Amino acid sequence: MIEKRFHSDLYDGNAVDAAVRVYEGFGTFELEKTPEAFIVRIRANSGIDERRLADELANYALGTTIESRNVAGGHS
Amino acid sequence: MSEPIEITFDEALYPKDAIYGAAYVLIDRCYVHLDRASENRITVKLQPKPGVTITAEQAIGEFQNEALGQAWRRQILEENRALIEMISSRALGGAAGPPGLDDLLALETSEDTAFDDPLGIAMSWEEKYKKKKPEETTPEDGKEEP
Amino acid sequence: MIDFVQLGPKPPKSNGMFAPFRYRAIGDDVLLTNMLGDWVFVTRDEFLAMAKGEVGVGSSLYEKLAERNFIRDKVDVAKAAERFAYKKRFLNYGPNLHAMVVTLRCNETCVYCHAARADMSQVETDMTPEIAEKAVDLALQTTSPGVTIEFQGGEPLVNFEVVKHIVKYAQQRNRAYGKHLEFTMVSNLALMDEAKLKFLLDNKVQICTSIDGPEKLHNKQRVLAGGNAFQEAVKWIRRINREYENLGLDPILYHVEALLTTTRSLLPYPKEVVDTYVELGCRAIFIRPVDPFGWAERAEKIVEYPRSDYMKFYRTATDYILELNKQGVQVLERYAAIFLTKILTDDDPNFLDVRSPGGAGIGQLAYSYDGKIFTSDEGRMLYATGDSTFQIGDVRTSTYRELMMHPTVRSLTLASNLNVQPDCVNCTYNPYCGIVPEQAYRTQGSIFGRMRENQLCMVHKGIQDYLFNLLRDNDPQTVEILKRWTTIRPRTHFIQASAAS
Repeated sequence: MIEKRFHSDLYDGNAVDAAVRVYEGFGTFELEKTPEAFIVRIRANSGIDERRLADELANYALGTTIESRNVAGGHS
Repeated sequence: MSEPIEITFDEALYPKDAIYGAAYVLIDRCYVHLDRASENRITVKLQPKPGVTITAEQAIGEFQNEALGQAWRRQILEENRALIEMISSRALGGAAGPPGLDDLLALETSEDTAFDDPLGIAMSWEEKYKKKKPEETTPEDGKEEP
Repeated sequence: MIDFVQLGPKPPKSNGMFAPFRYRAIGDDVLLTNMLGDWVFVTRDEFLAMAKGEVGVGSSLYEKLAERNFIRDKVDVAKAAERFAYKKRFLNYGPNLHAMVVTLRCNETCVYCHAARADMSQVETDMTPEIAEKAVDLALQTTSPGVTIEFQGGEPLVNFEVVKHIVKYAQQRNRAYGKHLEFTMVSNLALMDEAKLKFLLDNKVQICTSIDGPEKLHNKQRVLAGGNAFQEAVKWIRRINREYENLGLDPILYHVEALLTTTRSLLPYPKEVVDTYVELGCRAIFIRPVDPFGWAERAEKIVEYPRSDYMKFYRTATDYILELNKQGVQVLERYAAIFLTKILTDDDPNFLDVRSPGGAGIGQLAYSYDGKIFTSDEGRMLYATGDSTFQIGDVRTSTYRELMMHPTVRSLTLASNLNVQPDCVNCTYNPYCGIVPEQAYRTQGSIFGRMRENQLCMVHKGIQDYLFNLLRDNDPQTVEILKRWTTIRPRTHFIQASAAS
């Protein structure tokens, strides 16, 4: 199991949710919200590289966070 | 796959958007993870993806350079805003030309929206760039009214 | 680290004498440039005096600087504004260059060719007359008074029927628009025949081809199945040039232009490449580095090289070109001519990769065979690799204004404004230079890029350093040649007659 921590000041919660949805076919995910962060605990399905799954999910969450900032009028 | 490298940025020098910008530039080639080291410091963890030929050291170097460029560009944009807006407006306006009849008919206007000013065109230059005229000082500023 | 000014215990006091300028070491001297593109060389001692506020009013240094608009009180502001507006007049107009990719099919296989090439059997990659007409209709709506329709491919002669259709349709439609309409074609010439040539000559289509150096080198990188690519190209270059002479056109001005793509295998042969061009009667050689769009990784390993190697090739070749000029041979280097026009005159040749903001979208559009529209041919080539970032529309659905107001066009206009760029904003060559956001995107991951690490910036700086070193040396014969290279003689024969309503 790999735990990924997404600081709520740096990641958009909706982006983290979206990332979990995108990768849901590759493993099981447990989500937790703390005062400071969104925690995702990742267990990959058999045959799936768990480390890679966690990293790809994290990239997706970051990318979506950044894109949503631009759409919402953040600086380009 | 090489081991990830971590580096911490001071937000006073590298605004969050500069970190985001640099992260986005590398996100196709690296796994990028951000975390808060403290109130004003962001930690970036970078690891090149499998099959990518750059090393982690190169990636973090590129990240640093990109973050610096992004931070400075924000500053340049602010300092040169008037000139950039003038040139961009002229370029895009010159290319697009005046709206045709079809474009005008496609505009949705009504009594409620006719005087909306989303682009601030009716705003004075002073108002837009926050310069105060001398006669706008108030008694609270400690100056006598003329 | 270059030590320009020795700082003393007290910082130098600015006395407000100077108008804003940027500076750069060129040899032992310092080059100053201003926003208008005026430039002057000062010695290190003179620069130190400027830094210390020790330039006396009326001194020879003062007068030298005043003459070139570097003394604030001596600048005629109204005239400066007029000059600036003139230099940037291209901002008043939309795209003048419209690249129509009439087919992806090609009869040659080139080692540096982009992934967009298709085999001769792939007729589905031919542009249809219907798509062509819509593309022409859009092109003629530009706010630019001039329109150049450039036929590209693949190999445009493969789909000659549509080329003819575009020419005739555009000529007819232009009667209503009254544009200064021109046609050009970039072709390997291997499929040329007398009937095609007659049409192209009768309809004043300018012809460009590629020559990659001497025959052996050219054929090594441009393979014509069952034929000799070099000999086919040369045969038709000579034939076409003869026809221009028969028409009474000045051969100095009217001839087939040839384009060079400098690949790694050409790097040891700068003089041989120049000699080949001169022997073919070419009056211009455009020593371009290879571009990074759309290659297979395998091709990159064969073709690419460090830009420092390119600069060595460039300097040797251009030095040789200058020597030939001194012997009476009239041939120029195109990249140099573009920069020199901006350095030595108030004109701008409107070369879209060397202007600020650049030409993506607002200066050029590329129309793919299937009707998709891109900000440039580079954008189209990226699409062929699966990246649609620079697609801005489709001829079937987009209006001209929608294309110009597209967010991608806005972004590229901003990104290619040198006053936005961290390095360019302070660069001495800012008044003359340009960047290509698509190139930055492809090589550095964003449309802004990082100029300190950017290969195109390296090329542009390298060429301008070379030119300013020549100007600093101030050899009269060389300077006269360089000035001659800035003369823009319009080729009016190729402008289509029109009758605007």
